[in-house]
Amino acid sequence: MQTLLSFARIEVGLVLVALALVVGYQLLSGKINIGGLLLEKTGTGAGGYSPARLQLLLITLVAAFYFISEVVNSIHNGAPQFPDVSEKWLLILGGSHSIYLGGKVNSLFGIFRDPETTNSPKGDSQ
Amino acid sequence: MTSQWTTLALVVGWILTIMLGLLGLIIVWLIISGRIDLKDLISEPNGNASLSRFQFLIFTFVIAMSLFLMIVSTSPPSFPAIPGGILALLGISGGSYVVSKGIQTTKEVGIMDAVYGKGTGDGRSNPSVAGVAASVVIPPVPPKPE
Repeated sequence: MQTLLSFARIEVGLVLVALALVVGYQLLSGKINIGGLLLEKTGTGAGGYSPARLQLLLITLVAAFYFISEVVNSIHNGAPQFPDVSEKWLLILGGSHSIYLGGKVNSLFGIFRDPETTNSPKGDSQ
Repeated sequence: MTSQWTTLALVVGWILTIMLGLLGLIIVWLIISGRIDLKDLISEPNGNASLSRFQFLIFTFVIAMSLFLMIVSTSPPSFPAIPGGILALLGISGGSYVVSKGIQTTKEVGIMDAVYGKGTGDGRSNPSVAGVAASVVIPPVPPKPE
């Protein structure tokens, strides 16, 4: 039974790491399309860089690293468990997503856009 | 009887482990060789990359890796408890994705067109409104007697 457990651990670890490496490599090398990831989506197509998207990306990466570091810490302390995400982190993530969604509504429907400067078709800025 | 069940459990365990391992390795190999194309893994239908999908991808790998590390580091291996904070974290991420898609679809379909029918967006092209208008017959006004 111990042999089976060891084999299963190595095998699942190998597959997970291989999958993560392949996806990571394809993301970095551009084989997986990441074009327009940080561009504002307007009613007429992609616009300029969006600060709302950038902050959401950064907050997501920071939260992911925090999460992994907490898991590794708990394993080193001998009590492996999922970290209990504090209210502070939930508020930060909730606020970040709200900013992103607000920015998306604004860029698509042009609520706070100057109607004279917008080049969207008639009706998009309303 | 107990030893027979133990043997059966071992045999089934080995078969499942080898099958799942081979399946995982084949999938990884097909991705590497390009037969499984991940080009549009995080793309929207219009070709732009989606931040919501990218975020889901990151969280999926983070949770999967964490789960694996925690399971293999306990002896005997056991599934860890999932606290409410983690569920809230995933709920925020998933909820944001759904709301984001809702906003985008509303824009693409056009909420006024969805309500009043495709066309001008002012109700004139709505079939149901047009039907009501067609069914109302206004009698001609008789000419005034001179």
